[in-house]
Amino acid sequence: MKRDDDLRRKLLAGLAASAAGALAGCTRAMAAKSAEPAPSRRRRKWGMVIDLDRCARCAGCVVACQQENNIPPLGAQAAARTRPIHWMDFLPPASGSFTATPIPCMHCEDPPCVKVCPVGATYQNPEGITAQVWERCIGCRYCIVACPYSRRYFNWSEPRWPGDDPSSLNPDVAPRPRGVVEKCTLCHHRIHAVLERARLDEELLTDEALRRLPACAESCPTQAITFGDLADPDSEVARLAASPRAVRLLPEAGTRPKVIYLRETK
Amino acid sequence: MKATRGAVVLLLGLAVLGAYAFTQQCIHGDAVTDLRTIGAGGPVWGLYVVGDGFFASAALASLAVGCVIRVLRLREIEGVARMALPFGIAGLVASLGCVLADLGRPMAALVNLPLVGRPASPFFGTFTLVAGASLVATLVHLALTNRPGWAQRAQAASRWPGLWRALACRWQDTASARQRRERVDFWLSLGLLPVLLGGLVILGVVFGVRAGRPAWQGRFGVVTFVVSGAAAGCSLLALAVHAHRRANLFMARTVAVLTALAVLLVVSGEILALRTPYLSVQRYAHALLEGPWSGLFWAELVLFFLAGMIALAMSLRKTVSLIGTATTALLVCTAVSLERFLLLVAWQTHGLGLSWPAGVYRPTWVEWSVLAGVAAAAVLAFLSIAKVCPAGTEAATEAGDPAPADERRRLLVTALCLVGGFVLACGGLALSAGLASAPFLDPILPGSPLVFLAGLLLMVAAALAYELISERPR
Repeated sequence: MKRDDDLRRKLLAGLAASAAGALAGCTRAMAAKSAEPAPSRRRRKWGMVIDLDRCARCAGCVVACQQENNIPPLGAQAAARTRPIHWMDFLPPASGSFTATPIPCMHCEDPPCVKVCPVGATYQNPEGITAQVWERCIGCRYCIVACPYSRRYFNWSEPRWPGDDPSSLNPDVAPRPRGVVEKCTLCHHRIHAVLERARLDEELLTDEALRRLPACAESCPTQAITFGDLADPDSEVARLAASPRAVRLLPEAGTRPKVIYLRETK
Repeated sequence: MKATRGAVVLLLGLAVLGAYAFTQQCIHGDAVTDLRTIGAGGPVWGLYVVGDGFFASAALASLAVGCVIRVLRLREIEGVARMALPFGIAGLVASLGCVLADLGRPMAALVNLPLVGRPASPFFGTFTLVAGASLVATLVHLALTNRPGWAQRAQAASRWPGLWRALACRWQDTASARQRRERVDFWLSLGLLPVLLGGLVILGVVFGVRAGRPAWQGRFGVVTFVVSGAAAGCSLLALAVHAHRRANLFMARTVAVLTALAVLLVVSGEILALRTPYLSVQRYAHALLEGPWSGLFWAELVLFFLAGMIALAMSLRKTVSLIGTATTALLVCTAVSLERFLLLVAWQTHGLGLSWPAGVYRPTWVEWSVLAGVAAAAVLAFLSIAKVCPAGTEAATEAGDPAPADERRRLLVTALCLVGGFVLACGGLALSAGLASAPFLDPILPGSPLVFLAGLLLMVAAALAYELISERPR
């Protein structure tokens, strides 16, 4: 028993010393790692620029997004409980500002929602779109809590459309069931279709074909929304993103959003 | 620990009410709760996650206290360590219930988490380390610790001697068996301690650290979470071990220190939040101080303070009364629940980075009923385990020392379990994390989170092997 006690004392002392050493080492390693920039391996980097000078706040983009992506209209009960689903929405003006801001998912380069998902239901595709696989989602809503822009939505009840008529739905986008999270996809079904068409026709994909590709950009009457490849320096979206008016929302969050705003000059 | 028949009926009634409320939620969806869309007027995490944070942290903290007592062999307060086991099991089961109630698709979670769980997510840690490894390891620990008592019951009890004999697993009160028992106690406690503390910190991370919240505030939140969880766990343990004089004095002192620390951390966090340059943090701090959540915030501080004062008075007078201990436990648990609520809900309603409107949250009867049902089920589980487990483990059957034994087989199986479990756990973790692949992708092998968990459990099984494999005479 005495041998056991001696061994125990030595072990505890050794463990305490090595834990202190390991902690110091880990802290140093983490500090060094956080200083390194994240490597970029993507070919394309889809992004969006929203010109706030041009935006008329007509909410056409909101309606087009609802229609394109089979987002059910808000019922009376959901409205009373403030449970809307708007992939594209308007951020109320902050104090000192007078205008609302259209706000889709920011498709961050370092998305916090992807990091916290326990089952990989949300992921970043190779072209930088933060996508959601709702079949895999378990409805923990951790991604919603983690998103600093509050751009994710939970389906609190079964989706219903007026008259329960499914024929009005867009066949390219699957409706989401109760209990899962959904979000803006930058209309990736449209991107896939354009890329596939270009591949089949053996044509080069032009920047003009992409600029108004998502439903919100297509419907915007003032062409305030421009979509394209941020990694292509010749694209319109990259040119606008390099403008001195370009700003990103919540830069202090460190998420590096790929939706960029051109601030108002008036 | 004995409960009156009336108390048991009340607890059963609450559990049934909780089950009924949960069926309503399953039928109608989460629309029956008052959870809302974040940014559009409310929190997406509410009472269920608060319950999870409370039960899991109290359970993990009390189990950790039990492990420390065993590792340091503080025999005078051994009763605390013994009581921590059933208490910890009940708390972990309750936290699991809260998590499952909160999920939008609980059945999908039970399938997808073992198949494609991602270690990069804190949720993975809470489910595998907290719900899986800690719970099973604690069950093993409970079974091994109570073998001598069960052996005694098998000899003395007139009812179900076969059951007690089976539970005792051929325990013989010999010097070598006791020595083995002590070794297993020490090593199992030492091995469990990092798992329990890791689980507690991961839970704190889920509550404290979020994107957009400044890092210092998140870390402060984690520390406050851990300390207040320890205060809740110790106050409940103090109630459970009230009959042991030395133990209850020790627990009263511990609760006094932890509540003082909790008050200090809550007040410091609030002062720092008011002084920060971040607008969202200032909004949150003002919502606590003078806004819609101020009532709960001040109530939390007053309850912590009162509980600390009662615990301090008892420890200075060296007389610990049952009423004093029960009042302290009630005050601390209410204060800790409020602290969890404010850390989680108030941040979602008033601490958003962008200019979304402030939100509100008033839990519905369904949420209250489910939470009450889970709590009642946990208390029933605790009472049942405490009833099955004997209060003392001293002086079991005397069998004298057997002939000198060959320990090779025992050591070999134990080593195989440990090494095999370690290899499985490391392999499962590497495969789940997608190492040697790109980050944030699927596990390399579907089901590898289950392999990781199986590895951890195999390591725990080493304790069973060491203690239960019979000696073969030379």
